[in-house]
Amino acid sequence: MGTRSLGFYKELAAKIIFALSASAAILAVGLICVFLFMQGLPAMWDIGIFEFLTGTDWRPSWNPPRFGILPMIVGSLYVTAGAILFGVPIGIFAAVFMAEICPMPIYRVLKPAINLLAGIPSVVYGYFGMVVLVPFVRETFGGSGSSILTASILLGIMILPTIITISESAMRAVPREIYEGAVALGASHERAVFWVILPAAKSGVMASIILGVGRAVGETMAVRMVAGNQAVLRMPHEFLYGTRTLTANVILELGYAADEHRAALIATGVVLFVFIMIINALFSLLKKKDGA
Amino acid sequence: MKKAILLITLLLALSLAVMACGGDTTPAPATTAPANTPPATTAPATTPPATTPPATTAPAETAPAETEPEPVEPAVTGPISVVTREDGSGTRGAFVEIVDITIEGNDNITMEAEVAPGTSVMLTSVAENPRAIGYASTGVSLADDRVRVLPIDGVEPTTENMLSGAYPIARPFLIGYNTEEGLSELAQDFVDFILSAQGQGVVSDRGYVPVIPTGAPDYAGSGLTGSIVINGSSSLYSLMQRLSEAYREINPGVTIDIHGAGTGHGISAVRDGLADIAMSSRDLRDSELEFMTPLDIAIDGIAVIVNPSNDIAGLTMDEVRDIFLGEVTTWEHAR
Repeated sequence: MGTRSLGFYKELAAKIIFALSASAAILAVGLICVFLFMQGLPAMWDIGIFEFLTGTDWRPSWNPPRFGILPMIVGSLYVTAGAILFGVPIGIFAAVFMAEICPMPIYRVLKPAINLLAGIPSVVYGYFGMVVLVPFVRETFGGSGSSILTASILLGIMILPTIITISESAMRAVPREIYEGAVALGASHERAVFWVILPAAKSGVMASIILGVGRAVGETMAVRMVAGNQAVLRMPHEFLYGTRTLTANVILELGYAADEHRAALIATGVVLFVFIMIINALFSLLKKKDGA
Repeated sequence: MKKAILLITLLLALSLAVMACGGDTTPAPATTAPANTPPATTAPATTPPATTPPATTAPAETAPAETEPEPVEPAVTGPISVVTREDGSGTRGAFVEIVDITIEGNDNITMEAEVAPGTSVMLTSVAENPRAIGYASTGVSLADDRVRVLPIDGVEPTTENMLSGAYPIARPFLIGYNTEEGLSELAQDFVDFILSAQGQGVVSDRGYVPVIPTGAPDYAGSGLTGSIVINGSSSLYSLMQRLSEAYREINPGVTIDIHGAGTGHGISAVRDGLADIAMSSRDLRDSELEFMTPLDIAIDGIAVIVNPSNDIAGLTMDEVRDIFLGEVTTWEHAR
C-alpha cells in the first residue's frame, strides 16, 4: 500500500512537471500573441489599417509621420519567392541525392556538412553575403549589389538545410516495397526514385518547403545586411535594386523609435506574425491531408 | 557507373539551372543602364561573363572617340550608390540637419539610398562598393583605411579644422546646468573630470574630437560621495556612460544616473531641477540660454566617405546635399 502510493505520487509529480514544461511553450506563444496584438493593433487602428497596409511611404521621422508598410510586405514576398526559386530545386535534388543515390562515404561527409550549414548563425551568413555575394552580384549584374537578388540567393542558401533534411527523411520514410515494386515492374533506379519515391514523399517535401519559407520570411539579420533596406515599393523586374523586408524594418529602427513610431514597428511585427501564422496553418493543413 | 553518370548529369542540370537564372537577369541592367552616359566604361562591368574578348577591346577603341582628346578617364563612373544610416540614428539626424537635406523641415534623404544598420555596415558597404558614398563619425572614418574621407568645401575634417569651425559638418556635444542653482560640488567635480586630460582622453577614444586636444589639466580624484543625475541627448549617452565609468574608477563612492531621453527632455529636466546636468547634441537656443549655462565637452564631426578607388577630389556642401537628396545620381554629374 505504502509503496504503491509512493509510486502514485512519483507519477503525479512527473505528470505535473511534464505538463508544466508543455505549458511553458504555450504560455510563451500566448504571451507573445497578447502583447504583440495589444500594442500593435491600436497603433494600426490609429494610423488606419488600410493606410498602414497599403501605404507606400515609410517616413517615420517626418512631421506628420507616414507609416505605410506595403513596400516592406512586398519586399518580404520578393525575397521569399526568390529564396524558393534558388533554394527549393537545389534542396530537393540534394535530398534525392542523399536519400537514394549518394554512396556511403560521400554521405558521411555531406550529412554533417549540411547539419553545419543549419547551425551557422545568421549574422555569419550576413557577413558572407556582404563580402562575397554583394560584390559578386554588383560585378556580374551591375547595380549596387545590395539587392533583392542578393538577398534571395543568400536566403536560398540559408533554407537549404531545412529543405534537404526534412525532404530526405520524408523520402527515407517511403516504404521500401514501393520502390521494389517499381523496380520489379522494370523501372530503372533513377526512374523509380523520381517517379515513385519522390511523389510518395510529396507531402513531406512540401512541408520542408513551407518550413523553409517560414525561415526565409522570418530571417532578419542576414537579410538586412545584404538587401539594401530601401523602403521603396519595387516591381518584380527591379530585382537588382534593394528592398526592405518586414523583419528588417523592425530591427533597423526599433532601437531609436519612440511613441507612435515604436507602435508602428510593433504593428509591423503583427503583420509579420500573421504571415507566419498563415504559413504554419498551411503546414498543418498539409499534414492533416497527409494523415487522412 | 550508371550512378556516376547520373550524378554528373544532375550536377550539370543544376549548374545549367543556375546559369539560366543568371541569363534571365542580364537584360535587366540594360533597361536600367540608360542613366549611365558613357556606356563604354559600364559595359564591361555589367556583362563580363560571355563576351570577355570584345569587352576588353571595346572601351580602348571607343573611349577616346567619345571622351574627346582627354585620355584620362575618371576612375568611377555610373550611378551613385548613396548609403545612409537608418531613420532615428543620431548620426543621420545631425548629418541631415547640418547639410540641410530636408524638405519643409523633414528628413528627405533619397528613398533609393541603401540603409546601413550601424557604423560598421556603413563602412563595409562603402569599402566594398566603388560607386558608394556614405557618411560616418569622423573618428571612425579617419581610422578606417578601407574608405576615403572627402574634404568638404575644400576642408579636411581634421581636429584643428573642426575646432576652428572650418570643417562644416560638425556639431558640438555639450552639457548644460541650471545657471541660477549652479553646479553642486560633486557635479562640478565630474565636469572638471570631463575637461581633464583623462576625460578628454575618453572623448578621443570614443572617436570624437576633444575640445581640449592638448594640455588639459590632470584629474587626481576628490574622494567625494553622492549621486549625480544626467539626462539628455541619446547621441551623447554612450560617451557619458564611458566618462562616468572612468570617473567612478577614481571615485567609487559616486553613483551617476544617466538617461538618454533626448536633448529636449534633458534641458527641461535641468530647468525643473530634476537633473544636475543636461546633455545636448546641438547648440542651445536663446530661450534655453536664459536659464542654462552650456559647456562644450566634445565635437562630433561627420565625414563624407567614398570608396578608395574613387578619385573625386572633394565635394561642396551643395553637392553633398544634391547627392543625398537624390537630385544628382551619377558620378559624372557629381564632378
